Amino acid sequence: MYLLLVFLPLIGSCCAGLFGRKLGPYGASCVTVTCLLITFFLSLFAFYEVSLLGCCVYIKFIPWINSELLNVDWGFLFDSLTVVMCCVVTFVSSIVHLYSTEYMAHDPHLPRFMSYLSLFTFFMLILVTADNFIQMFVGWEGVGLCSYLLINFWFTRIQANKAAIKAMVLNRIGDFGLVIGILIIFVEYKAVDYATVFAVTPILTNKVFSFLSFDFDLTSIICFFLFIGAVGKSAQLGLHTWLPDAMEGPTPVSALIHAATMVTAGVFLIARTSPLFEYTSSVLSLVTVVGACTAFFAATVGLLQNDLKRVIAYSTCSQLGYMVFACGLSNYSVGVFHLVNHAFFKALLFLGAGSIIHAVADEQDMRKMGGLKKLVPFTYSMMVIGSLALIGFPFLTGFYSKDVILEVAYGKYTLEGHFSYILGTMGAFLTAFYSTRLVYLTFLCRPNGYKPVICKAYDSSYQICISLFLLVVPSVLIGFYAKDMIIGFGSDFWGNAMFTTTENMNRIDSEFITHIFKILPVILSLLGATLSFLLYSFGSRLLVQLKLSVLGKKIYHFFNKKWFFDKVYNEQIGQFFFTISYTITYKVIDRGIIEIFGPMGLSSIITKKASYIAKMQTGYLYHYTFLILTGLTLILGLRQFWVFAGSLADFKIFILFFMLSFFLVNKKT
Amino acid sequence: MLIFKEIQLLPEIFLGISIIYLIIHGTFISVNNKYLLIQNSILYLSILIIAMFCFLLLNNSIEYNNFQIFNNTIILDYLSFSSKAWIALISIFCFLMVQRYLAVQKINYFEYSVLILFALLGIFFICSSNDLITAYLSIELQSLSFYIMAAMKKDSAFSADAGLKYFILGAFSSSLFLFGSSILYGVSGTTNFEDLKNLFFLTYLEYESIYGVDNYSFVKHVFIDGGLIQFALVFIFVSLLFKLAVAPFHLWSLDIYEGSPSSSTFFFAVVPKLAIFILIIRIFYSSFFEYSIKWRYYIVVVAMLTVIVGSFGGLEQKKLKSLLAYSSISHMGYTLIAFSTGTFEGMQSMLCYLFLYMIAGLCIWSIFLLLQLKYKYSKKQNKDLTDLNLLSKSNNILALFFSTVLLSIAGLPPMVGFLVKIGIFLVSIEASMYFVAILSILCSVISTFYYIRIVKIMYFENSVAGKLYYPIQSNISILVVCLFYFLLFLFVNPTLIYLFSYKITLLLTMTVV
Repeated sequence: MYLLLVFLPLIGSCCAGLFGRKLGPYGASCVTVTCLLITFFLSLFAFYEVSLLGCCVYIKFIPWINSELLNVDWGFLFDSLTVVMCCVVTFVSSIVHLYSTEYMAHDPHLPRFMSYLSLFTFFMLILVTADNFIQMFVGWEGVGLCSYLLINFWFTRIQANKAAIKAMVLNRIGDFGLVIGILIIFVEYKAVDYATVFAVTPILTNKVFSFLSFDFDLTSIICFFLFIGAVGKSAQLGLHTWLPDAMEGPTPVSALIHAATMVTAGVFLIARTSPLFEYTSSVLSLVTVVGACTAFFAATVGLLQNDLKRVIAYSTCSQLGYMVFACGLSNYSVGVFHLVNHAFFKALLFLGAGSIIHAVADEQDMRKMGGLKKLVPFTYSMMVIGSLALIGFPFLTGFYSKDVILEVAYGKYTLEGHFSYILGTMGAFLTAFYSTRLVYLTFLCRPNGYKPVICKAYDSSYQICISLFLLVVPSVLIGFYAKDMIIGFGSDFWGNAMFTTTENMNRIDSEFITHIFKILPVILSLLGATLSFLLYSFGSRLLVQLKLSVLGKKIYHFFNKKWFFDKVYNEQIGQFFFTISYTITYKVIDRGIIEIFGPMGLSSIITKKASYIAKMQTGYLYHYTFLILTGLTLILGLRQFWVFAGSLADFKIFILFFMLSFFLVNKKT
Repeated sequence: MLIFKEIQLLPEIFLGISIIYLIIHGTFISVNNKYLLIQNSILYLSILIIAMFCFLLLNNSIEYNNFQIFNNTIILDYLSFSSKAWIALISIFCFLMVQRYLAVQKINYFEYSVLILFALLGIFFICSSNDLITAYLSIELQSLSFYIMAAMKKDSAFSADAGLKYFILGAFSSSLFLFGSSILYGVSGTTNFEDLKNLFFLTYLEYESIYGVDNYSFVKHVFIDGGLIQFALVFIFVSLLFKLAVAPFHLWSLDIYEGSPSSSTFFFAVVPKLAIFILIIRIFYSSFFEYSIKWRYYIVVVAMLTVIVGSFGGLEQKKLKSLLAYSSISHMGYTLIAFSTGTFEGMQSMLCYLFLYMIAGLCIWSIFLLLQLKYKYSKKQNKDLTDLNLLSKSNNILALFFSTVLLSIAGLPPMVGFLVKIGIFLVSIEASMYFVAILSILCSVISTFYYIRIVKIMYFENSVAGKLYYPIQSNISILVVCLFYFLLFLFVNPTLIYLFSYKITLLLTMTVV
């Protein structure tokens, strides 16, 4: 059953991908959706067995690499963390599959799309169920690949190509870090499976590792590189620029990959490797700071974006920041809890956005929408619920996890704890602000779109509505129902899946922080939402004036252009590397050194030598006799040489002579 | 006269007597004006004689016995038995293949077949010689026949040139052999391999046990002049390498392969190499194994040089024949690499390689001989590479066979050539000759180029104008197909050749120790 859980999506993907032409769009959709639904039910059962009954499942499938030193198995580890992730992934994935059958119904490549989606789900399951770093990395790269394929699904659009390449390249930086981390683990632990590595880590805490001839603490350097991987995948500050651009892909893809599952792989990685992270306070601080900065930064940028999907994308980025700094504060369970909740309501928001975009003839600019409340009432209600959940409106899902995150941040009583608390609270305010702005601009304000478009706007049909509704339920309820189980006091839900040292544990502290700091995020959220609503309803003139003022223009520009990250990357770093790669690696190394010593040079030398050898064949008898005598003399001389100087000379010197003979070019000929 | 033991030599005796009868037969008939063209009948008689020889040989069944007859000058053991059988089998195919060629080229001398038989007799004696004198005489018998065969096409200046060169250089190398033998006799007082083996092997054991390894060389120099023996061995070695056409001594082979009629070249390239190698095994591996630390170095150096020359030299060739000559040179190099390891596995893979070399050579040269250009004015047979470019269109099956055999010789994986070649590389790696292995692998890559170039010319050249070929006879084509499938079969079941060579090596090593 557990193997079936992993491999069913692959089967579905193969069916849809390889035989899609035979099955047709309808058949392909049926196969993949069925496979995914079965997988979802299987993972529910796995959740029951592993999490609720507390039986971890550990399957050693087959050996993969079996050399003396490196042993890697295809192994599957199902503990609480895995099954929670499995449930989330398969649930969101099956809903997205269902949704896509209608959303992409008019696309001629529907089977390919469904195949990619299923393949993505398979790789995501491989990622979360792996029992060693290498297999995890397979899943990690697999989801990256599927992300690339899906962003680039409409491959005739240049923007999609650019976005896909950008996602791939920026992810590559992160993956590079992850690979280095895994390699260091292998070098030092001589093992790559989780069980060994986590068990040995406490012994190696004070070990020094020399990296690039600088000495670092072993655990810190490993965690640092693993965190770089997480930064790339989870779009944290610095490597985040691919995520908003990835919205060029179809909206279900954005919902599945770039909101609910793949981008949370970084958070998953940190949670999974918590036994490593726990022994390195410096990297934990780094994680906290980066996460908090991301949360704040993305919220500010989201404030002034005009593209519907980009606003949600920046919101995703910001929420990922929350998760990461929750992990950085050693409250992995809280981070994962937020991950789960976020998956539901963010998928809801994206799918709702997709529904809106569908309704208004593929228009994504919020300024050209408005007044859709009456036209698409169902989608409107769904979006409002999703936004409220995102804001952290009391007793909706987001409320339970986000507030706990901010509480533990304050309850840490350290510099980075307070730092993240302040940034997180401001982020909450901004989140509320832009969410309300989104809802207002899309639904509530006067219609700004073209008449023919607005006139034809209507709610989508069954599959889309069913999927939206199915997502609303957990978006409203899961926080309330799962809170005590997942992050409650004394809950043994997680078992040994995540590890927190006693020094880092601060859940009790966070319960006793000053009351005002506990309710401050909620107040700020509500304030933000209200302020946004009021400003956009009644103070639009004020907003325009603000925007047109000298300072306001600059601020608007700064936020709207995403703090100029893209500009700096493209114009400074990108150009620099382009220049280097053209002038040095291409012109000097590739066409220069390698060409001269490699194909061209070697072939010319070989033909030259060949012609020398052919020239020996003069046809004169005395030449031949002479050569025979010379050869005889040389062999005899060799013997004498060995007798007299055999002990002195190393025969390897002849190898040098031989190689040198290739580079001696006779000038006369 | 013949006592019971000597009757074991019956096949060779039969061969010799039959040759004499054949000469008498040919002489009497050819002076008669009615029967001018007796070439074919003599050829078939020769085939019959070789077949009978095979029969007698197989009837002998001396598998595990080890006879030494005629005052220990001739040895009959499994090595000689199997190699003789193999050579006889191959030469039957050779006879069948050259028949048409001789007719077209108008080489209507019945002496030609007789000469081949003489050469084969010499080769058989080389295989079973157990004495330096016997070895010399049988080499001379073989070589003298070959000299005449090279010059057999009387109206061609090239052929005469080839015969003369072969004769002079061969005589030169024979003198080296004699010189080495005389020194050896002077030092040890014997020319018999068995005696030489006993002499040096026993001394080795005794001195090692008495004085230990360290003092061993010192003692050696006192009793027997090891330096002088090595000196002699180098001479013998060089003269045998000349016969094999190995690198510094290879130049004759190109001229002679080019100049002599293709049927003779066929024999030069395919048949005698195994016999020479068996002589080398007998001298160096059986008798002077104790000096293996010394002679290994020479052989390694020569083998590397050969492989390099063979691989590089072929790149610049435009004639198919000289290209095949270079290919044969490089193969001799690989075989010598295997030999130079001086190990059991080395011997085995060497024999494997030689057997396969003979089969593949047979295939390639027969296809070469069967390709007859439709040429009106001159009977040009020395094909340029570019002559082949219409072969795939005019005779697709033959082109397919040709390219498959070429790829097998080059050592591409799904062919048996790959298996034996990698066997040699593995053996050299096991003997810790890493540099040799790397260099020979690289050279093998280079030499693959010229094999593949032929395939490319046959299949991928877009030219409309080219030479056309006569169709080949159907009975001959059956033979070619059989050979080709045998080559394919050997890849499916290489155990055949492995077990055969394993048995030979095992029995050989048993007699050595």
